[in-house]
Amino acid sequence: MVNELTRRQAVILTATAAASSALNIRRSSADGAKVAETIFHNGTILTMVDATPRVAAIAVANGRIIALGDETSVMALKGDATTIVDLQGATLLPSFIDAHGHFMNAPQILGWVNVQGVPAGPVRTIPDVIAALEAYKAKNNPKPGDWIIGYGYDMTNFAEGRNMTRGDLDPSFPDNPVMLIHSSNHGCVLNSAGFKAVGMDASTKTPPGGLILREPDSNEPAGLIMETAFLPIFAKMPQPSEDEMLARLDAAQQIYAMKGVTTCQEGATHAGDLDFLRKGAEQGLFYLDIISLPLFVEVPKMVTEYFPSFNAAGGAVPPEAASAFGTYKNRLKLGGIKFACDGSPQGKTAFWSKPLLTPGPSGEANWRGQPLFPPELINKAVAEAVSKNIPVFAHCNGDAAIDMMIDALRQAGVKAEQDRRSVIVHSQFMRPDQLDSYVELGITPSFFTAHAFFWGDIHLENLGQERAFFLSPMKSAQGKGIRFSNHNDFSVTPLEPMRMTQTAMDRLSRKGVVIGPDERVDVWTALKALTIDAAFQIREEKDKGTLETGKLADLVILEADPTTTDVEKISTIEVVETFKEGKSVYKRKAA
Amino acid sequence: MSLPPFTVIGGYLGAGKTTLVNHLLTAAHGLRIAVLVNDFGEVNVDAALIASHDGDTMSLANGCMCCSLTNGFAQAINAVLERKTQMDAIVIEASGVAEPGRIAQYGQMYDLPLDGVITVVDAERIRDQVENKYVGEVVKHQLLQADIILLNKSDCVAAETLGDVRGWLASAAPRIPVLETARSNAPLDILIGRGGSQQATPDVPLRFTTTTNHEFLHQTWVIRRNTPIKRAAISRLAKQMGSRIFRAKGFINLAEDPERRYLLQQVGQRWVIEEAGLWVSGAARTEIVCIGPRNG
Repeated sequence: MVNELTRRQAVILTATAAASSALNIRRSSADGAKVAETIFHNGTILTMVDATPRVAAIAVANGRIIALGDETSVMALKGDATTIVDLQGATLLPSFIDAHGHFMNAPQILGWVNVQGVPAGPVRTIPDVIAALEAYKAKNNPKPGDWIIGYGYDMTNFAEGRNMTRGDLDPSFPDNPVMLIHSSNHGCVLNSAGFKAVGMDASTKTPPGGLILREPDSNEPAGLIMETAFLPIFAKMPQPSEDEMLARLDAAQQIYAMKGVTTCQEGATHAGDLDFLRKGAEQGLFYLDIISLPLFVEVPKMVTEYFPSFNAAGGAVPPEAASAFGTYKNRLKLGGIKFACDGSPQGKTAFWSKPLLTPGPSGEANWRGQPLFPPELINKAVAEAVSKNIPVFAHCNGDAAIDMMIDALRQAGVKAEQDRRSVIVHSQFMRPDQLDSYVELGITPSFFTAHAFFWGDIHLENLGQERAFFLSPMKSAQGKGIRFSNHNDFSVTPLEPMRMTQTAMDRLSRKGVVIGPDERVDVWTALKALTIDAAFQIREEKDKGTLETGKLADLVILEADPTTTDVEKISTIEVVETFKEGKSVYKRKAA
Repeated sequence: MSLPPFTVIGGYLGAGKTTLVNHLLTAAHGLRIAVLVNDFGEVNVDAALIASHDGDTMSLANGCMCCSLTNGFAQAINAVLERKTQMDAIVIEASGVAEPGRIAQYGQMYDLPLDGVITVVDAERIRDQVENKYVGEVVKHQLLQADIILLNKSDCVAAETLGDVRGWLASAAPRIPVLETARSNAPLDILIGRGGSQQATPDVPLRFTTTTNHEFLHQTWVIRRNTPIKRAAISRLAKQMGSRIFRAKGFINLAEDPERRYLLQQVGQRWVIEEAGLWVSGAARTEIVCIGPRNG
């Protein structure tokens, strides 16, 4: 039966191919694009178009989608040189858009060892940390005295339930200073070579606001140092050279491509970072799209650098600079100006209108966080961006920070009908009434549902059920007709589109609490937040986000169909292959 | 090596912090002052005064320097501390929503002696600012964390309003000395204490340079005692002076240890007494120079 079917299909395929190649001769003289370079079929193809969610086949040429639909009509575009990709039951969909993250962290962490806990990293025990560091050492052969740096250290990941000490590290690393950066980025563990390298010993006083754990019965530093004891040391760590960083750009893009992401965001760009990204672009080192959002406080510096004759006082932007936004040049695009109104909720530096239930970061009572900038400063810079038609992206986690940005946009005269698509990044702890302001002003949130998994239990403790359960309120936003994206804030959490999908659907914390059962969304909505709605947010929906004729062939093949996979397994779905404009940029090695 | 004293300038946006910074960088005080600022663009230094400018650091011909905090406090402070010429003082301009008391801790990461927290207040707008739903709490903390409050833009409000604001400050920020200023024109001797304990050697002259000055509403006076004073009495005196002085400084002839000199340094209600070497024979006597409000 199977054989017979296959044979019959083969006959049809051959016949169609013959017919179409005859047609192609005629077509190619009239319209060169109408011969497929690649046709994908024999799997699940999710278009992310509501009206026609699934098709049987899709044809690609010159980096764009030239046809999709049933097998016969698509195969009609097969030419002699057409590559036919047999999906073998795998699932093809538009590749993912990184709606918010920090691309510049990618080349940085590539020089470091991941010592994060499972699932962000490989660590469950202290020996796991040693093993990860040893693997790095074996691979990179550092010279004696060269630093070995790990990131994501957190004793709460260890089965041992204790901090690491220099004694844990010294036997394996007698000659290399080792620094394990704490997951908060506010501290580290050093080995003996590390303490020697930074000049810290028994005679070092613990500075106010700092911590130096000491060995029992002596004043020798034991390993962990935090806050004011750490920050001066970290600021003096050797930095990779620009050439080293440029050489890492391929591997940096692979972090994205291997997860099916082909549009990456550098979502808080400093002036120096922009110089670096421009250099990478000029040297043709990008094969994925990179969107840079210059930080508003750095804009005067950038304007002075690129437009030396313009008076950048007060944050003014010249018209020529404004026109530099919105178009790709060598795969690098300035997407908008990035504002920031507060810090992070897990660090308790977000800005809320009502106090937390727990003390502040330094033990403060009635702590509700603080704004990062005076509202007058934000209002002025937002008004300048709006007047120059530069898109606004604003980091706001707490509801008071969100109020600040709503005020700023309203004062700048923003209205929904202007279709500005101002993005409030995170929109993590909104109040329900703020969704109405989003509708009124045409604000589109980029949510961060992975918080439910990574910090949901902590948010519950700090904020109580009502506020914690309304984190990243996707379902309520959807009910108001608001379009939203979802992000990982790489490298705050690892880049995992499938975990984003799952957390948008189940909102399960590590302890198994559903953080807001009413805010769970269906799989289609969860996927749209990574594709078409993310494309809408960055004004690229004409080119990206769905499979439709004329759009870019930015595609991902997943080993399983997330729309039919059990929710709890979605985060484990792996990427088989990723395409940027029809070209393969990542292919999973055969098992 | 001794480390320069560390001064924090706090206060909300628009209060006059940057104007103050410009004074510190350019006034003819003869000190090498390093100022760390958030926004380089706002610092307004005559081009003729700029000796070099490398993006994040600006060096002035008069020996002062200005560093941007763009890349963080640690980078900026390293740029200052790694210079060949030692600076006489480091001043940080806190951001408009920063709590200066927290910024003061930054200096302690580098063992810099804290010289003082100066909070600049806009006489016209402070009452509104403390009521603002976003920044009101921070502005209140800025007042309470000050050693000295500069009630600035005093020339922009009517005398009656100024009196009201002073009265209000006395209850909102009790016991913190207040100096009225216009265009942040505070005398350097009030802003900077000149030398932390490490610099207290017998060669350093102890006089404040300003005396009573009718343009400004402050004066200096000297407290002298020829007989030794007990430590407890000194502490009582310092506590009493509290809100009545901006700064006090001088050597103490301490009853508990008459062989050695002790140095008292006080800013507002905060003081330290530290040992400062042996007395030159026969010179042991207490002499504290105070600078405070004229009616103090």
